[in-house]
Amino acid sequence: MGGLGAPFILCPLSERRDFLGISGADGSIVLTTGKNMAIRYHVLEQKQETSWTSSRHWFTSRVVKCADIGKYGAILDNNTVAVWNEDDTAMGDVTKMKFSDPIWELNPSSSLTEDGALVIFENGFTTPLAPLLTSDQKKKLRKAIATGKGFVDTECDTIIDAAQCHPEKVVIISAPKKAGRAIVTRDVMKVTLLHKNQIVTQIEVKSEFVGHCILPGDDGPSILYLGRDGRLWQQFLTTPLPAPSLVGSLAKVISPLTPVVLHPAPPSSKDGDWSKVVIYGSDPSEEGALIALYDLKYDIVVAKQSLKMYANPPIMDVLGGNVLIPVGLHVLVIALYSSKSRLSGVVGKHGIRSGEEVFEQRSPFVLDPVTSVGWTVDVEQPHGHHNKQAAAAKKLLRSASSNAEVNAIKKSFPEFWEVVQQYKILEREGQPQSLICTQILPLALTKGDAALDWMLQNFTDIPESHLIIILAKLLDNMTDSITASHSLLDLILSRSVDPAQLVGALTSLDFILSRRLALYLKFKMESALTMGSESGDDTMTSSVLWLTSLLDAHYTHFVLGDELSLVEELLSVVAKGAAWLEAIAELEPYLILTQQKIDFQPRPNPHSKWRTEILTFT
Amino acid sequence: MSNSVKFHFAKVLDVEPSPISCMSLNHTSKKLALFRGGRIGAIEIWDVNHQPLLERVIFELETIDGKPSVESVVWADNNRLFSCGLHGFVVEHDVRTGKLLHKSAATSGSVWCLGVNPTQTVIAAGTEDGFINLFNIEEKMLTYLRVLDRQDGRVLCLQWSPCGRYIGTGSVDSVRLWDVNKGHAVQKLMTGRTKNKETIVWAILVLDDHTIVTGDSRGIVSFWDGRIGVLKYKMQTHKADVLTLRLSSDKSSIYAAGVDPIVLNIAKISGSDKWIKSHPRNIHVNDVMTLETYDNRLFSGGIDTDLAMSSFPPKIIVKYPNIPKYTQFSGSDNAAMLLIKYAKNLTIWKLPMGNSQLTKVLEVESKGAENMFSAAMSQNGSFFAYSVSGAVKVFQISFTLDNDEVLKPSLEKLQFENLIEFSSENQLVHLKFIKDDTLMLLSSSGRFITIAKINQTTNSVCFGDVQELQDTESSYLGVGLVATTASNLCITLDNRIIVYSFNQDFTISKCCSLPTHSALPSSITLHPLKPLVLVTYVDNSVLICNYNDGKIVCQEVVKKKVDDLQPFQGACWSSDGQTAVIFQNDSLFLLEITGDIIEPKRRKKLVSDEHNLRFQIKTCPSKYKYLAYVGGFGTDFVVVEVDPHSILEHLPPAFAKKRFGA
Repeated sequence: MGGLGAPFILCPLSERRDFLGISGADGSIVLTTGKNMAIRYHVLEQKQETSWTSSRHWFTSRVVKCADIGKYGAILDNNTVAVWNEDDTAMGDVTKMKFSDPIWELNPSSSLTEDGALVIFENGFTTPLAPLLTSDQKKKLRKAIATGKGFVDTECDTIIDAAQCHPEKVVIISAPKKAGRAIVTRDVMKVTLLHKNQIVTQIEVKSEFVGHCILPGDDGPSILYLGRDGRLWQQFLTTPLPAPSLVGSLAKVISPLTPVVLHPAPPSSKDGDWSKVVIYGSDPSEEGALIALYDLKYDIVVAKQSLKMYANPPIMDVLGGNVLIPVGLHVLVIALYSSKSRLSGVVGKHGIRSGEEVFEQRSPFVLDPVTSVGWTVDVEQPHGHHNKQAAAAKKLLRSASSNAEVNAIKKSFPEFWEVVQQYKILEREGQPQSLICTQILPLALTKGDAALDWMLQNFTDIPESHLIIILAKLLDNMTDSITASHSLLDLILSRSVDPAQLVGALTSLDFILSRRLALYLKFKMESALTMGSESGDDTMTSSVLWLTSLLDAHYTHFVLGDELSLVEELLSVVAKGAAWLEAIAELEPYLILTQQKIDFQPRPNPHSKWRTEILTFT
Repeated sequence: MSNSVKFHFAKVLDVEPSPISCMSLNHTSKKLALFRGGRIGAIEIWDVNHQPLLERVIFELETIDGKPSVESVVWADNNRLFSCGLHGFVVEHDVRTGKLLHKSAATSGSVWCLGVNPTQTVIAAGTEDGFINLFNIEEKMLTYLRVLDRQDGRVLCLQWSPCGRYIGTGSVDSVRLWDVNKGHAVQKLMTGRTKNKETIVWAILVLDDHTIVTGDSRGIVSFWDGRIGVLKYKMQTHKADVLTLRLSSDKSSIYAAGVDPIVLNIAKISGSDKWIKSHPRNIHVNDVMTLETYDNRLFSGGIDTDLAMSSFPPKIIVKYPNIPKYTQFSGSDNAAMLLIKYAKNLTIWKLPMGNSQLTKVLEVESKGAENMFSAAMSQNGSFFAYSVSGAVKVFQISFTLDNDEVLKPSLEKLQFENLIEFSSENQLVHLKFIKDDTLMLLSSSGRFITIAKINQTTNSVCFGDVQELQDTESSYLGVGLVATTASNLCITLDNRIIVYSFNQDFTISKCCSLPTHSALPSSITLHPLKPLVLVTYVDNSVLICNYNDGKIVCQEVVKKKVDDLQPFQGACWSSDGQTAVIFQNDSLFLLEITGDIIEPKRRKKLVSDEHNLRFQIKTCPSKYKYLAYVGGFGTDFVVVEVDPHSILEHLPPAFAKKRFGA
């Protein structure tokens, strides 16, 4: 899906308060660090390339590269557009255009727009930069400003964001002015969509929000905003204006109590669309900040990283696949990358939430004593008549040392006595279970379900690859319409396995069978959710693990094939299951207390303004 | 045997971060003066003889553009406190009354630093334009003596040499040593630059052997030979600016700290003049602005607002959070209301009863943003009053429910039938409601008192005669703590505790003076039913005294952990008088009376009746951050709690440290 690389410090930052912003330029970034200094850094080489200083004027907006005219530009002293060449480090030969109206920023050119860089005035008037450089246009514009003619929104409120989006549109987000208040409230935002200086759409979002971003997209631009309740909303700016749609809840990921920065992550070659956003805010569970990569399509946090400090107001920018955050006295860089484990991210988060980690504890080099092999507690759990067989086998194997005993085995296991006998011989030779399994499995497969059942019950160490062979045989005999549980399949799925080896082994499973297995797992989870059972949470945990591994092993088939609907169905089942497991985990301490007949008081919320506690003094 | 007590915790106190920018310790009286900036700047006086206890807050400061400015504070000539700031004056403060005594203008611009010579006769002030002004410390004021030669650039720090002849100063890129008698600089020491960036010398020390120690903006501590003017050696101690240096009392260690908040101990090798980096202390989370030492203890303060006290060995770090002294609480038990007084305003909260919610019903700001000195609310919640300099305001408050079932307060200011006049030095008065309609006004010096009666039919206030309290003449700081019941008044004057009783005709007579204790009292609380006063001291002693006969009923030192050096902040008796809750910043204690409380009449018949009364102090394992007030709430207690995150979230970003994985 994607991930966040290890952070590194790009450069020092003298005064964070004076920091004006970051812009991208030809694989590098330009930091407008102070009021009269802009520095261009090469991110990967972590070195400074060039810098510009305006000795007589102050930068009031970030320095940007205007790709259409091949020059650098910025706003000086609030009302002057300045353009200069890259090699003019002292900014001695600057083309300046001064206006009587304050300018908000110079918006860099985008390949999506024809007009190139745009000059955005604080009153909302937006004009391309390039035509301004010709004197005729400048005069016209000044005239237009003087007369007020041509202004698209002369009563525009305080602009808080602007972006150029496909197709050839400019989105301006503004917040209403409040007299006498220095800090602009973000409770209400007004979004103006411009096209060729004409307002296309203008909306007011009247809900409290702590962070926002403008998301480009094939279906037109949209506004993403995070509410104070932690819910992420998406408002498409199409005509007619649709109602905002709920993307997901991020209350547990990021603290909605403090301002949050959202920024769309650039689409990777694999995704091809604007489906992910980078979120920077304070960590809800502990002190410090958190950066998260969030997938809008699947409503999951693909990757996250904690930082020691959270600075208010938060500043973050995403440029050229790098997340840039001014932290303390430095600018931090965190690389964004696309990773191979796309679907493990989708399902894996629920796997993690289930709270169980399966570790490989077996060693193929340690041979357990024969008497204890295969008859551990989990094998002795009731499994119908197979259990009785296992007990009989246990008894026999303990004492089998002569032909008479072999005959007894033959009598007890008429269908697959050869398998048992071969096992006995190999075991006496001192071979470990995993090797014995390799040798007797082909024979057991020919002997039918009883032999396989005996193996699954009596072997604690069956390599994952062999489990998949057994699984393939069982699935082969099934159809896609699954209506009932399969005891042998359940036995396999309930075994503890190593996730890493399982993924490798599952790649050898045919895709048709894999799909069938996925359907079976879906059936198991749905039945566990609806029916409920004593081992429901175990079933759910193991099913999530198997499903995760299965999707990892066959992600190309599932995603690039025509199985997205199945993945979405699985995701919904997994989400329900994860919520179920979470609810059980939350209730567990109370259930234990109830079982122990101990009275319990619900713990008061330490963050509420009023709480009551009964304290015991000793 | 354990006791279970119900507490209601209310997070109703708004604490704004007030960074500590400078401090100074009076080594004679062991008073630590520190300046807290922020929206309401104030100088705080702490007593550090035992556990540090905030004694007095001085609000009246010289301002620039309407904002108080203090860049440095110093003690001189036995308990006289001077400060300087960007306003360009050297100001003397009256520690007792909190008044600004007088101010002396320094030559040219803002004053950045102050220093007092070892004999406490001359004060030096370094200014923006590079002048060092010398003032003679006279008995009642400062007199201008002279200025030394002007230097280029501002004088950011200065210190007198132990011999009193030289002054070391730090400025941009240079350190100078001045001969005070000649008025010239005898040494000019260039610090050098890193990457052609100017070096700012923030802190300076002049040692006995004329070694000059400087801390600068490169994070380097340099040791200079003051005699021949050369750099002996330097060490990179911090990754950012070193803002403060302090020599330990035994002169064997130098503490350095700054933007990089690690406090580093630079230790002297015995038998050598070499200094080496020793152990660091991680105390603060943000810039450390100032340090002060007293014996083995190091006091530090900075942007994160905590006053920290640390020592090694044994390794102890104690933080005293910024819960302002000027915050006063007055609980109305009957009406379930809580009044909180801030520096310039007060808020009244309605506490939840049944299904109701905790609501702020009223916020009152003083006229002209004057500092409120004291505030009180009557037990029935009908009246509240506050005092500003030279004036008292009394209000009647009533509530009505509007259509939305929301409490709507209505206020009526009460008129005065007659006027009282305190002397100019007693313009500030402590207020307490001793009955629902009776208000007590006590002058800040503790000498004068008057009782005001509220006439509820005419809604007016009638003041009684001003009376002089006995035994209140010689006090250094004036009234510290005040506790009242309907019939008694208890006050602290320095370390003395005196109990008075109100007579029927509103005259006041002295009951007794409690035996003095070596440590300062941190709280006094009168028993609601019996003639007992509960006193907690900063040395962890708890004392209950019968104020009718002045005998100590019981006394005990509460055993705490070695590193628990928080003083008791206050106490509150339960409504039945059988238990009292004592609290400190982070924990609660329960004092339980196990014996009989003897009636005063029966007492005379008993020979050693105090032995009938026993009490036991019990502890609660829960720790809190931070407790500001405990009051009665029916049979339960209400606790006002401050969330430390509410302070931390307003702080500027701290110095970043590179660490693995972040």
